[in-house]
Amino acid sequence: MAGEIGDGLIALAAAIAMVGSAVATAWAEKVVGAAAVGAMAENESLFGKGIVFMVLPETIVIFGLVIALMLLGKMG
Amino acid sequence: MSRILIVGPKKDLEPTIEVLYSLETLHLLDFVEEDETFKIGKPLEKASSASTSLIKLRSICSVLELDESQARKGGPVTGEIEGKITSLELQISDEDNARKQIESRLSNIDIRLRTLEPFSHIPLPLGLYRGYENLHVFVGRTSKSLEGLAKVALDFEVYQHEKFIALFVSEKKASEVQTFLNDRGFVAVEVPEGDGLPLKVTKDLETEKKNLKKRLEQTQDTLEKLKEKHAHFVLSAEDFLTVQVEKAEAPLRFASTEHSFAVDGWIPKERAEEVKSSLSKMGTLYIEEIEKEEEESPVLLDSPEPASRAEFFVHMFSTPKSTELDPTPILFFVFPLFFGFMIGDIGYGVAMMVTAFIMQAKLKSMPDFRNLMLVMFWGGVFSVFFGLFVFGDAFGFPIWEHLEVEIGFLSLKFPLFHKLDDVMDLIMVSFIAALIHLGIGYAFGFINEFKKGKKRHAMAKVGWMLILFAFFILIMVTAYNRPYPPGVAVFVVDLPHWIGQTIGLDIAFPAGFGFDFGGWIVSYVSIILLVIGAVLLGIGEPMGLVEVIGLLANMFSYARLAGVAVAKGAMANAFNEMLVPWAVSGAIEGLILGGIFLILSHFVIFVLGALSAGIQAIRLNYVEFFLKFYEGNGERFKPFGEPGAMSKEV
Repeated sequence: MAGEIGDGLIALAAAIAMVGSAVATAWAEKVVGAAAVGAMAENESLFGKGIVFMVLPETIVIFGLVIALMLLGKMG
Repeated sequence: MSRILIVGPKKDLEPTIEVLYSLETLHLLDFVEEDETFKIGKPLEKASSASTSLIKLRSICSVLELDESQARKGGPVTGEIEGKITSLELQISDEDNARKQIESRLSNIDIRLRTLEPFSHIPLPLGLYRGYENLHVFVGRTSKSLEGLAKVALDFEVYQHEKFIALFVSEKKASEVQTFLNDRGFVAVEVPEGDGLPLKVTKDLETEKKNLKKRLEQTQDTLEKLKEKHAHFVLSAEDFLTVQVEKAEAPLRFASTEHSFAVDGWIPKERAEEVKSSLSKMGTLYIEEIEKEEEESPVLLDSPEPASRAEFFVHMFSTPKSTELDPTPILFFVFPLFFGFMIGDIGYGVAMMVTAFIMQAKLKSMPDFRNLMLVMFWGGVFSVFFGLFVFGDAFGFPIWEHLEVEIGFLSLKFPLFHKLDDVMDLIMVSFIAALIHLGIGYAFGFINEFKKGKKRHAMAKVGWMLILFAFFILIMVTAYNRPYPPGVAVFVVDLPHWIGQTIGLDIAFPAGFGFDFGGWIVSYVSIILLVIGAVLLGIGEPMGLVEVIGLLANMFSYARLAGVAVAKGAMANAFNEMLVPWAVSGAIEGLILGGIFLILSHFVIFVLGALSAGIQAIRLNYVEFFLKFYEGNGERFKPFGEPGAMSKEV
């Protein structure tokens, strides 16, 4: 029984790691994305640079994913 | 690319332009630095008349609402163009002026009808609303009733229709009445110009409107007929004149002295001889190849077919520098591969192939879109491949189960993975994709840096590659040592052992050879690779050390391959589980409705899947792969004379 509760808590912790980092990424990408599209409207050749900056915040959610996977690895 | 300088006497200017234009192979460099001797050339004499005709033609195009996409039937224009254009312009401008006049009169009538509308219910001629000395006229709308007006105005006359009022009071009482009306939400309305009963005026205007509309239709009809008759001439004359103007204005990009001109530009090496021999036929030209740094040259991507179809992906990101390796062939292979893995379904794969094939045939006029469709077609081919051998799915339905095949030391169970049950395996496959893709990226980076002579930066790329391997082994060994290791991790870790067995050697990867870190087995091999890599990186690009953890993030970024694959599989599965029992329940309405919903839902999955898989596949190339080696910002090779190279504004 204790093990099941422990597993549940680990799963919850993994979920929280995903939720927090995903929301943070979404927020950051929203800001960068709007600016990037604005810049592209002025000069289309900025697409390459724009897409790179746009996806930079994705690193945050990937770290969240790593932590979540590591946590799930601890489950019995 | 070869840099070439062509010098000749002014009399040869025109034939030289003709030859260069027809060869379509010289990337002109604009002459800008004027001095005492060398000036920017003057356009040929025919330039001004040609551009005047072109402007006329374009105005005709806009009047007739012709556009580029309209088909040009028949061959190029012949004979005297300018005369034809002038007479056509006269015909069209008459009709166009008439049309404009009618349209403006019609809009005036509409405005007047709107202002007259409230007055038409009151039987007073318009002239009676103005021109009094002792009377004040209030015309407008009020939202409340006028009860109590008699007390304020004493003597008055009012005409009312719904909320519209026309109130006549003595001038002396005007200000009091104004206050009274203001309290009742009165908004004044201007009395329209003119005289006569509004009802009659309106009727007259309506008749005029009807007649005008008829005339407008006639003019439009005439214009439509003119359009049909002359569309081909106008469009092909426009093509012809655009070329003429471009040729005639070319000297603006040359250097010129009083009696001679000089053209400077780049030619692809393999065509240099052809250009020289065509030009030298003219006799008096002096042609010289100039020694120049390759780095300054414009870039012409020339991958073999069909890989060249992916060139637009590279240009869309940024044109590479001429000294850089061209990533197009890798992109052309990896994009459809990733796309196919994410879709991983025979049904959607075939649908993709068919859609892409039809679209590319229909949209011949949009070269970039057509190329995208051809690349997507290969994406469909890979989807079918993955759907057949790896996932065994068609529209989310399993097509086969448990087929065991022995290949050497491997015993494989087909289909290899189940999209929903083997998520960890799919993530491991994503890491293998990351290892190979990023490895190629670092190899490209190494070659680029080495070619530039930057040995230290090249070394740093080797360091990065070692760190990449270190992370890969770290991840695989960690997965291998879990209670239920994913099959892919077991395969990767045991691979050296199996290969050793087949060639008769006893090699085994020391998977367990590591230290315990809070329950994780950390492989020594990865630590050693990590340290060597970090040292190389530290010497080559010390700042890169800060970014090392970013590489781990890059690798995990490939988990999106697994993510999209699982998500699409789950969607297809969910719809199938909901709708198939309904469709096969036996009831006729179940069969029809269930079938319709099933088709609709799979269509949605197909569209969403193609979109998200396409975006994710190109993103992995742009962000993870390109940033390992790519500089970009090169200048695209645009040969003089290439169709569509000139902007449409003259």
